Amino acid sequence: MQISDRAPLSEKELFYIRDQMSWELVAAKKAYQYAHQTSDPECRNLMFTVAEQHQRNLERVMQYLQQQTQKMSAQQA
Amino acid sequence: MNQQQIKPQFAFEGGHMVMFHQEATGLPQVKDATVNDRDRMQDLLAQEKYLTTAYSVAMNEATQEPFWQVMKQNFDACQQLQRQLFQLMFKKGWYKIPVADVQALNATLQQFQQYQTQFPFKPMQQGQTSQESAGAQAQGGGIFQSSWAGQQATQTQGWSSVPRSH
Repeated sequence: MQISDRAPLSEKELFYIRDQMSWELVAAKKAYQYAHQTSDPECRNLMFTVAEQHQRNLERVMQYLQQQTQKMSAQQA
Repeated sequence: MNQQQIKPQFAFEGGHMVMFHQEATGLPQVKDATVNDRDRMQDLLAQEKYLTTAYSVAMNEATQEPFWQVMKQNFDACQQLQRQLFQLMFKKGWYKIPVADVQALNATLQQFQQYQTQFPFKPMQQGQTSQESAGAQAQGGGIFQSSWAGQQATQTQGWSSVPRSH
């Protein structure tokens, strides 16, 4: 049993998404900057991994938001 | 880094057994107000802790299935990063972690073994439980699989000798 994928995005869900996108952007930028500031190779590698993963997380949420926007626009048209 | 096993060392400090890992950290000998590697790693670790909590809350508040799935994927990703950051920080020797007392461990185990009478289902067989915990340990990528931990495990293993009420 599962709630339909076609259910619209709730107001609350949009609030979460907006916050998360801001946080993921800061996370990616910060880790990237830290990676350039450190001289330790292991730390630098992991910091780049962290930076890239946060960008991917942000992109995933953005892509989802885009799908939802299209879907809900179509439903309301 | 993930596959590599970090063996902790042990020492007595302030009346407690602590585990740690020693490595030349490259931290400045005299620490000043400038941000160093440990500070940066600490900040990134705190950030992952914050994000995993945020995603966990979002999952709990989800209505729509795809929303829940996206939150879950990001939650898992952040949780993974949290673990990697902690493991590297431990490897760098930036953590000294007090070890639990074997007696306290054993007392806790025995207490809950006595609660087995309250279990709604028949307790699993000894073989199953030990297999599952071994699997969980392997999955964790274990920085804690020291010879000492193995020794402790055998000391506290009381399952087979405990009389079952079933």
